[in-house]
Amino acid sequence: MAAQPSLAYRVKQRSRAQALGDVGNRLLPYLYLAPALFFISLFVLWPVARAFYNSLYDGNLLFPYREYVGPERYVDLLTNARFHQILIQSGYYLLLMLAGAFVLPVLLAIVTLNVTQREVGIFQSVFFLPTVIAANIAVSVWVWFYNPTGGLFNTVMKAFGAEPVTWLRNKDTVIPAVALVAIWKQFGFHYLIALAGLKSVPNDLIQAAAVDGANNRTISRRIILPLFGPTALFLLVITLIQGLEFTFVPIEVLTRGGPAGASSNLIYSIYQEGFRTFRVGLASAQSVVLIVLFGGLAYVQYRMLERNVQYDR
Amino acid sequence: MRHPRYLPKFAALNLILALCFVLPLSIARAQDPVTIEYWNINTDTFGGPQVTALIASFEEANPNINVEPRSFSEYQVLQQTLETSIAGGNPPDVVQTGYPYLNYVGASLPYVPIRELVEKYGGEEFLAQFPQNILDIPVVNGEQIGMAYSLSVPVVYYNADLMREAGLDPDNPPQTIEEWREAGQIIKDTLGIHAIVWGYEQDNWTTQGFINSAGGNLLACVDGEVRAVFDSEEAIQGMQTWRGLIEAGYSLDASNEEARQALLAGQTVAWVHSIAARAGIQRDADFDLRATVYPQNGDHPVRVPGGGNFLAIYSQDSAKQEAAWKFVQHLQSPEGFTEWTMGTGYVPLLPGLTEDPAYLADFVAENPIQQVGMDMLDKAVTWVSFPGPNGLAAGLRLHEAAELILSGQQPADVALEDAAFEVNDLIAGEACAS
Amino acid sequence: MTASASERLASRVILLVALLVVVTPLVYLVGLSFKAPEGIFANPMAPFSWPLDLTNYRNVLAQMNVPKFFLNSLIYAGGVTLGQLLLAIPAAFAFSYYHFRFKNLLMSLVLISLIVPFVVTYVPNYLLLARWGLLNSLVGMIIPMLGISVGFGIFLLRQSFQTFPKEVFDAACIDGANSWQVLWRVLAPASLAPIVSVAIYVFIITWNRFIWPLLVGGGDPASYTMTVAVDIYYNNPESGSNWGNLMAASVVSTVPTMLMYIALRKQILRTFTEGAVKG
Repeated sequence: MAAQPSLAYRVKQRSRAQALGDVGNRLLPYLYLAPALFFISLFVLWPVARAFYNSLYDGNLLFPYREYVGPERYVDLLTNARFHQILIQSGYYLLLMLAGAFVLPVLLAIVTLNVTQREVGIFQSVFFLPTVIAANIAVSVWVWFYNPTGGLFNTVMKAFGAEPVTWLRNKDTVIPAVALVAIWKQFGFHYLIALAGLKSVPNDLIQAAAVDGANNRTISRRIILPLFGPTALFLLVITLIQGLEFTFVPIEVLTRGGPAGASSNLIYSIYQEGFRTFRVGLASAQSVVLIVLFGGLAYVQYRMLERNVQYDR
Repeated sequence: MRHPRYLPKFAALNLILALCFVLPLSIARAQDPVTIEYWNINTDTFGGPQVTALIASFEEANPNINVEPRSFSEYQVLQQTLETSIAGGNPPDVVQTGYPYLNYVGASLPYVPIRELVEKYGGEEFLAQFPQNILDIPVVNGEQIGMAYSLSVPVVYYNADLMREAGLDPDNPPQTIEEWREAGQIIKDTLGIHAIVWGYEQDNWTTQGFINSAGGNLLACVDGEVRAVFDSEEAIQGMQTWRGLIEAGYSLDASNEEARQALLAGQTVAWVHSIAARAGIQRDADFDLRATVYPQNGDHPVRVPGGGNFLAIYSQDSAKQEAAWKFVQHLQSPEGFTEWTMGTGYVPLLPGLTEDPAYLADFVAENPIQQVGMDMLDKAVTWVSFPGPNGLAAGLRLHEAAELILSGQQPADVALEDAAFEVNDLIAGEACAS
Repeated sequence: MTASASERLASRVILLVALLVVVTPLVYLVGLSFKAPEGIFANPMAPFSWPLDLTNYRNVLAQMNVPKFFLNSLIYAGGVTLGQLLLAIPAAFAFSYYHFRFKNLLMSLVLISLIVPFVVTYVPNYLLLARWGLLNSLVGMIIPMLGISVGFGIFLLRQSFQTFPKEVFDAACIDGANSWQVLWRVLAPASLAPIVSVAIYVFIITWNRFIWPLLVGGGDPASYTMTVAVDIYYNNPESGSNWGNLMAASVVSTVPTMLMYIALRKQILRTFTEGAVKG
């Protein structure tokens, strides 16, 4: 539990590198990296480069370069009210995902520390269940839940005398309804990680503090939270970066972005323009915007994560 | 021992990786008889067995032709796969294409025109059997780009048990919007459920039915260019009619799947949907299921879009083209249509089959729902597909307007005018078909 | 932290409520699969109706080539998992034990690859596969996936490799092992826990993937995975979904991952963060 990003650590690393240097073979690390980087470059980075290029043209999947549009594409896109709506909705989705797939799992994990070990096993197992079901399958049950007439939700509401709600057709309820499904599908995995992170905080440390007279709040703030920090950050990164991806299948199965685009977001919009209306140039430009936004976000998070992980050590 | 042994291993690893790419290329490519691919949206639960049977009878008659069916869950997935397959230089041969993609295919994809097929491989007699209006369905810019194959019309499926329960006569179901409105109030008062629900999707099939049946149109030719005219007074009135039914509680703002569930769960008396789904609904309904005609709106004649698909051919080499053309003729033979109609509900496009005891006469007699579909046939108009490379996006705009109207977010006139403005921008400069 | 009795009770209540929310859809998923096709929507409040009806399962097993699609899913998910491990382990090794030029740049590339959403990469990769003639093949389905989320494994394994005690290496090197041997004979076996965690994670998300296998393998039943097959067979917007069959097929396709999860649950739970995240 060193409190310093210690010099010793760095020295240790350097000597390790010398020991394993295989008599200074400078090529070695590159050889180890080559296969992975080859695949990443070919199937991820190259498509990104293509997206930049394609975004300057109008065209479909078959003829992506039918007409040159140029940088004007981005002016059009960034001043387009429809696109602004999509950006705002993306932010709304991310907020909901943060609440449901980050805050909620962490809180539940903290609460779990209060129950017996056997119960923990049950909760862990059950919460994780939706994660192991294919998304398209898991979501199909919810189609039936949200059905405005024969569905479970409105049947229950009817039993209580409330007016039925067209959950997926109302612009105010549709995003929370879709996000709920994405959260249901994902949160168990995050709960698992949060719980393991919490449990890795040594118990004797907590007990020692309690013996020293520290109250629960002090223990939480001074001991658990700093040690839990890296795990929490890791979860935050996953949630923010993949949050929109988690919502993709629920949107596709439940609403296809409707009503009138009210449940669409950046990822779904890219899919829709690329694969549904076959406007590859527009889809590519939206991809570029997405990568720039996420890249910035990820960079900040990565720096924080790096610092904290080292701090922990 | 101390020599670094990792190098050969890396080489081996990379070699294996490289082989992964090269090997599959060298396999394949060797067929003596002609093999053609038939892409369809038929699954085992929807027309799939019929496709299998039709291929079997075709292969029996043409032993040197092999037909490989490929099934997709919906037109959209088929379409995107088609586009990328063509881009990859490996097009399929015979493809079912939904009518909303008609203009897009006509403008953007390398189909083989029917004219060219007839010139090269004959088939005038085959074409002569069809009424001209059927042949004209898949015509884009004066070119017939395929053969209309599956045709469906909307009918009103209804639950006769519930109608009786509400005190209505199931033998005399409502025939107009006005009558449905009256029935709707009775049903609402007695049973507390919806009377008649239309599901709608991004293909605008249902929306077009409402607009056309109120005397409006989606597109028109203005100064030689295609313009959106679904903001006309008639079109607005059509959408208002629909919204009015929802607002009064007689109907529901719903997708096809939601509407279907409402019918099957006894939450609506009637569901307006394609005759193509007949077999599936009959399978799932545990009540007295019947059907009647699409309701008339005021004095306007009922005009509803014909749904379904046409067959287009994409084969490159002549042997495949000929085989594909033969296969299309087999699918659209009297035997082919008989199999197809019985297994799905699609309307047979060859005249006379439903009166001919050798083909569908008995089946239709025993299946009054199918008869309703046949009766609706003369009300069918072309399912509009928006022209040009932005045509599919344009179609989506109209769908979004419908969503705004039916969910009560915008009045019909505002939503339709906005959408028409946007659509006209998207399809600007598209010349009318001759 | 010692919790009072009331805190304990409150905690239980909260967790039970969450449990109920999580479980309900699953109960319906299973329940609907045992309902007879007619009247499946008749009573939304009752997920099960007695006696259990096996029609849906009979249909599914008769219509779908379950063993074949299952095997396809297994090959696809297994191939991606194995391939990613073979790529990620050496890469993570290089990042955690060597200093070299462009190390930070290369690591950034790996991290950037993680934030690229699938919608950006699917089209170009699909076209690439089309050009190589690899559509509708499991090989084609697997290869691009080796690049697409391998960064995750590299990132996690690097964190864990960095904590490996240096003395063990020194000893191994003195004994004359080269780095390749150290990697596979010392480091990998000793890091089995995080490696298995990564493997399980990759396997499950790959098994559950839907859009990509549909795009690449959806054209030919020979290359359907379970998720694709379920969708193509029973989720047909043209004719309306066949709900009973859809649910039965879903249960059938979920059983393998479920069993794997139950069998390996302890392992997954224990290793997920102890090895991987905390480092």
